[in-house]
Amino acid sequence: MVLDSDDYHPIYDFTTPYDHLIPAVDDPAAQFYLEVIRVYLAMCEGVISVRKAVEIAQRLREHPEFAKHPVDPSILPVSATLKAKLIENLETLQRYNLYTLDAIKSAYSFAFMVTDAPLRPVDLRVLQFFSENPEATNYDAAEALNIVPRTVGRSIQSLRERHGLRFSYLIDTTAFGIHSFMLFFKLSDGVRWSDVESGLADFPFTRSILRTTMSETGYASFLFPGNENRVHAFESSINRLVGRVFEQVTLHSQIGMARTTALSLYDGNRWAFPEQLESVLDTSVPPPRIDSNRTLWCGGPKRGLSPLDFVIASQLRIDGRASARKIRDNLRLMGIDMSAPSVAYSIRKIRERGIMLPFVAFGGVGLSTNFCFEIVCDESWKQRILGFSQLLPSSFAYLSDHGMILWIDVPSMHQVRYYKLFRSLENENGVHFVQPIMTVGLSGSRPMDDLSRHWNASDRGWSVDPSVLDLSRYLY
Amino acid sequence: MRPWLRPAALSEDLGLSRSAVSQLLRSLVRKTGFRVKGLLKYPLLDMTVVFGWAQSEDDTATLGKFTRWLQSRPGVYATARSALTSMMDNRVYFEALLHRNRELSWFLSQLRRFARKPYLLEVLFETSTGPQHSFYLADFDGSSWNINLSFRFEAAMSAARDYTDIFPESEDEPTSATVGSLTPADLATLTVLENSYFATYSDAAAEIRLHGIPVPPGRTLRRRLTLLRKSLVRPYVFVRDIGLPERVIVSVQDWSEGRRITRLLEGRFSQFPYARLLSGNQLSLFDLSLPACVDVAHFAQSLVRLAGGDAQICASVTEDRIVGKELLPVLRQAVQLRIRQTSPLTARTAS
Repeated sequence: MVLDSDDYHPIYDFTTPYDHLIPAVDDPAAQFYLEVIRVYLAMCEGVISVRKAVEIAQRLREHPEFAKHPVDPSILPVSATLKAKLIENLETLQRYNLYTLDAIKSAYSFAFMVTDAPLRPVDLRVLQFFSENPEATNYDAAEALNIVPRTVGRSIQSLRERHGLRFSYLIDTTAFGIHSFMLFFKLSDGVRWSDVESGLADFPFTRSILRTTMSETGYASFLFPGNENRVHAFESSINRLVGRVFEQVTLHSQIGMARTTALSLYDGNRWAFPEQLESVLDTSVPPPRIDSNRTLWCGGPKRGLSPLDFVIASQLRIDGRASARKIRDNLRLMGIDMSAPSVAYSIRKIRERGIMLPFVAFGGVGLSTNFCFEIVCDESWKQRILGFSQLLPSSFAYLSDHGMILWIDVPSMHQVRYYKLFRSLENENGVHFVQPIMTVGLSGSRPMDDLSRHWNASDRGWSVDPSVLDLSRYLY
Repeated sequence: MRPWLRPAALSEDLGLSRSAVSQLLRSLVRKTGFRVKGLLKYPLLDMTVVFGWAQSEDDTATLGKFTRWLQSRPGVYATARSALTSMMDNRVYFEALLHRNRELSWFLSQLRRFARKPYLLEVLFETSTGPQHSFYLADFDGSSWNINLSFRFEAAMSAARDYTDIFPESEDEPTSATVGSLTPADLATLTVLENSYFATYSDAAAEIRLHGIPVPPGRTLRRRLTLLRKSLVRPYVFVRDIGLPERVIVSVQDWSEGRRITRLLEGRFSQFPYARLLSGNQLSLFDLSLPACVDVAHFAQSLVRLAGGDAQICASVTEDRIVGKELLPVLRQAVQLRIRQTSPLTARTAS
């Protein structure tokens, strides 16, 4: 039932100047997205403090919809562009009287599609510098680019605002005794996507789900701690699902990761195609050397790392530039009392172990087509593809025992060329298959510290009972 | 917008001199291959259009075989291979113009053959009286296209979804009521008009002569040419190289009541920059020319969301297109057949 917008009953007790645009809906899932939008708008308007937004965001995590689409309004950058887009989409909903879950979800997700914005030459240089030196300070950048630090600061501000610039880290979770898995699957005939999505969302160890509305294939990623017994329990439960829920599956266990960008292909207006990439198919051409600064291999459990260090690493993943004091404040909101020097010590300890890979994320530079390729191949092809993937405009590789999963962001005008090139890898000896997926509407992943709520912490690290790792219980 | 206007009427309409209009048209022809072609109701010539696609998830070799077979058939005037589809499969789209009595059933049986062993392709097809064309310039500023297929597009379409029953039916095709029965000379004239809506008296006379039919007297043929053009042929603009490099075919398999999803898209059809539509009972193909900036994946996802469970929608970026293969030989053959049926004597003369 749709009520008059005057009848809107917010879940959280605050008002925003845009509440008149918020439709009154009964569907709790639709309400979830509307509340996320309201929290964000309230934060932009200064109606609620960031601290309050974090508090509400913690409560939103309890919402069943959160596992399907993990969105945290408190960590979104305050951006006039994003705010304007959300308001425009809310107005469009109102104009057309659209209050269905699908329409509200679209209004939300379309606002987050970073639209291309012109990049000033100085911003491009700053972006290029940080994409190559993600841990550098503004002073480093100023010196290298021969500009004043204030200009770097302003550039970063503008890049955050218009291009969603974010400093972050990839983390080798195996250092904390935590396994990362990715399950690629094709649904069996007659199995409904919505049931599988809900089942996966209820499983406490699901980190992200990609539901492809356009095909029967999808993937989910999982994170859980424990020894070989736990891994075996999880794998067996997946095997039980094959033939019933899933027609086909491949379970990838993470052994490494790589993240690359090649802004040198971009002149601020157009992207060039890296012609050298075509040689990936010509095995007489050796692959480019793998840059160790862009690749992180999982090294297994490391001594001296506690569950608390993991929580701090998770914070750095959200904001790679967060100070020890800011992390201390965030931990306090989570009920963890820790001093800033202790946080700083923990950060230093994590850094020394070499288990983090820094990177900068950004959008709105004309890389609007996103593909994911599941590539099952032998070791030499894995190394070869990884080498060549460094030539791509932007890529992320999840390296596994079976091959790799490669996400690429490319300009629309070259989409067919990139797609065909990676698809044709399948014809090579040593590449068993390539499964492409169009990753439209990628819905983020549950924060690592949120998942850890379901694990048991002790002096010996994290653990879970093997019986709770039975995914089949959630999908039958 | 109004392809039936002649240069004289155009110059009056635009407030330009005749010579300026001619110069503009000449430049358009040079830069864009601009031509005003004619759409016929093919059943007038005992012809039917068959359109559809064949799909395979990974067997590109068999699809290649199917494509080569299609291209060897004289009636197949358009084929397109998918370079990338939203369902991540491989497809070949096709259109064929076939004689209803002589070729249609054999062609359809061959299509079905490819769905069986050893080929096992998924083949889907329907028949139609002919394609519709649309050319819409409102989003063009003279140098680039500004098309918004984002949230507002999806929202507007979602809002219209429940009102498709009040959408007007597609415009009535011209009827043959005013023309009377068609003579062999008329049929020959129609084939010329298909190729060029503004075909002249001498073009028609040459075509008629080619079939070995006596050419009607000058005034009669001129009158007939004008009448046939007005009553049976609908003009459309043919252009290329106008900044719309992305060729996307959207296939809609619609099993909703009253083809609601297809009608919803048909309602929007005339607002795509350059589009062709082949419409059947359950299957329709929207053949769109779009600017490179359009994000096909998001567009496809919006369409899939709109369809819900009522239709299966697949958008394909296509390549290796052979479109608009000269139809004249196919139409000529159909005219020959009609001549043989209606007048054995004339047919002998022609052969």
